[in-house]
Amino acid sequence: MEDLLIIENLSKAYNGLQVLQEISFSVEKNSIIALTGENSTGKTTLFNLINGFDSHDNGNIIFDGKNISQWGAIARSRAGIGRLFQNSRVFKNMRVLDILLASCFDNPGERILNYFVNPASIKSFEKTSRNKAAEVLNYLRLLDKSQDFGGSLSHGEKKLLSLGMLMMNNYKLILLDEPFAGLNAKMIDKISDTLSDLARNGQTFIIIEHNIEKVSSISNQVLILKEGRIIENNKINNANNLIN
Amino acid sequence: MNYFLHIVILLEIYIILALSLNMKVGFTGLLSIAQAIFYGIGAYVTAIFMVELGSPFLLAIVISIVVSVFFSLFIAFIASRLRDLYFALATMAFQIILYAIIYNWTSLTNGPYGIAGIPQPEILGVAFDNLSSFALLGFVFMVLTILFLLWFQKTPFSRLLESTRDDELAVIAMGKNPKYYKRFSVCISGALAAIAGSLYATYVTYIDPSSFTIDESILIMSIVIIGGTGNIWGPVSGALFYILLPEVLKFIDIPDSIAASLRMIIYGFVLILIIRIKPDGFFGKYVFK
Amino acid sequence: MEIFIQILINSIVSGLLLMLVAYGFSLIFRTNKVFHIAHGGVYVASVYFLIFIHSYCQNLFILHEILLWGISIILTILFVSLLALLIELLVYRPLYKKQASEIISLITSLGLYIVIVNMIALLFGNETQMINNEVKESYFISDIIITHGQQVQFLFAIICLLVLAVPVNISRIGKKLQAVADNQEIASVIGINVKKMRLIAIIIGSLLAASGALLKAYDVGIDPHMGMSITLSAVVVVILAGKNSFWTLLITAILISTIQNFTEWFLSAQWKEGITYLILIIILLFRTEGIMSYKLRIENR
Repeated sequence: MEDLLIIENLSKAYNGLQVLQEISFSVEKNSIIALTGENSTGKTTLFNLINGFDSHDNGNIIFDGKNISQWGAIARSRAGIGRLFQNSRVFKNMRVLDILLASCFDNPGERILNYFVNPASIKSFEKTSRNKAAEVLNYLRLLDKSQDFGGSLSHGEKKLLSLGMLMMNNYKLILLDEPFAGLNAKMIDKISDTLSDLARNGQTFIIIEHNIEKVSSISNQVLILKEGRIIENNKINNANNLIN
Repeated sequence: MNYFLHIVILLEIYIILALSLNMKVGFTGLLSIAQAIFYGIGAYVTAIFMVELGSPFLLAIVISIVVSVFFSLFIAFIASRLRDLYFALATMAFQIILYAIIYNWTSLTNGPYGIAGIPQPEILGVAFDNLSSFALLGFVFMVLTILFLLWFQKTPFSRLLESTRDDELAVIAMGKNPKYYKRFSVCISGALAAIAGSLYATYVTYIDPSSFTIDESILIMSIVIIGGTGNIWGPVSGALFYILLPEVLKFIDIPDSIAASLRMIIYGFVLILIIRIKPDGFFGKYVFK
Repeated sequence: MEIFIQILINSIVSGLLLMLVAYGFSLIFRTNKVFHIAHGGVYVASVYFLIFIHSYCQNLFILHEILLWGISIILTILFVSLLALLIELLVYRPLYKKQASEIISLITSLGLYIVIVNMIALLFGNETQMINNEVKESYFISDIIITHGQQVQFLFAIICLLVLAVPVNISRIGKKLQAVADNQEIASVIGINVKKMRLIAIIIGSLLAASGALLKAYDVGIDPHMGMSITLSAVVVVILAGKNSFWTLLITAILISTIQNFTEWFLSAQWKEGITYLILIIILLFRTEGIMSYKLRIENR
């Protein structure tokens, strides 16, 4: 299978402290990679480097055949790298439906000129994205919350809604930062079901997760980070993994 | 009757002004303490163009909007680099610098002596030269502003402004550029403030720098905070409260000499209390944090 | 050449007065975590109270002039402390309990400033007030003039700094204040009474501002609206200095007041504030390290 993401010799230091050293790995299309390791071994930093919130010192990031090392976070997101944050970043003072609508790519309503030149395109886009948002909300069983404010949702619902925001666009690669942390068993099932559905639809994931047993049960490759290096890179043919 | 019309006109101007600041504070979360400068730019550009160049009212308004939008880009630049307290502080500095320019650039603004004899507005041959017609003109501008904002609130664009306000980093992660939205909201805000300034200049027919001080900026900010932000009726209620408070004080028979100070004392207390007890203001939607 | 030395001397004197206000502001900003714009209100209130109590005592008893001033100043110190106490207890402590953000504290402080200044205007009117109306002899070195007012300001500013600011810098209380400034949670865990430290900081800070105000009023007089501009100058000093060191603040205060005095001399008095805030805005926008850095924020969030 071809590789969606190739990381080559990636290094990052903060104030002289080497957080990541010479990280190299590749991610196949339509796979689930688990990234694990003790606290503060640079897992979240690696995510920041991949989605462009932070710039790396050395190395290359190749995504979908293009070297995106110099791209900013906005361009990388549009190229198809989505991210689920550890502490969900849903917009607190907006309604759930509006949050989903706001996250659509290429909305003609983002450009002022279109309001004068082509208002019809805005209307039609609005209509299709509303339908899509309704679908997503229905799938996530959040339909009854569509008029609630983002800030009023529970921790688990915020995670679901963040996933919904990612589902509004076709991201090729989604970075999940501890998607199961702090959730009850029911919500964990719901989110892992959602992930497996998305995986079946051809999306690729990298998941940060502390619990090695839990991640190996859902993924087909496990990376273990320690002190800024990859100390293990195992491909597993797991009968239980999410895709099957 | 004349006095009543005077109050109505002030109310119309302050409602536009409060709504203009609400674009920054309520829709984009930028607590700017420089709105009096954009109000002042509107008033001064209108005055200079009408008095010195004899330009018609509508042209003067358009030019003052353009100038005000240009200066708004500085605020957008500040917003792209600073947040929260330091943004507020930098806008205060911006207010003081521009005030110093208005005050000292005597060849253009006549400095502390101000500009007198600003003609009253005339649109397509209709002169708004008495109080009732001016009140009508102000009303039209106010209603247009409100209608524009009612429409704007429902556009996809306004959703993106609100998401920028709530979480900039998440907006970046969504592949959108928050700087662009901030720039836009700041410019709309400047344009609306300029309209309020134009109306003010042609209404009072004499302007000087003392109407556009940092105290005035603080006042406009508190109108928006007291009334509430993030929607339309919040700032409108704030302006109503500010303009009508002295009228209420009149009923309890307070001498004029202390009424002005008393009004501001009450106003300061209300500001302190509202931010503690009801941080979304009278009718606001967004809770400023 | 003389003119440069003259401006420099004037700047050192006015810089010391600015330092009094700035040190007080910095103390309150760091310990109470409040952007204390109402500092300017306290600044002005102290002068009006002194003038009021002085004329009140004058009518009440017949006393020697110096004794009369002494009593008035002691009462003013009490008044300022009480005012600071009330501000902390009634306004800022509830914010602290709610863990309100800096921006909320700024808005609250602006509200408080409006209340104090208009209260003064209501009670005493908007006219400029002076403490000392007599013209006394100046001190000449060739062409350089050091007025009586400047001599008094210089001497008393140093005394006030020695009495109020220096102890805060070196005593055990100073260490506790620093601990509270660094991290209130840790400070309270290691047994420091945070509420008490907040009170001490706002009282000392306000007394510093009051001493600056009284010395200013001794020479040039004061009106109710002057507090804002001196507070904002103090803000510039605090931000420009960056850290809470006595000497950095002092040098920055003198630097800012030198810039202001040169601006006043070569341009005009009305440009003074504009130039000061131009410096502030440039520093805020182009300083890359510290609290304002965008990258740091990403890590912290």
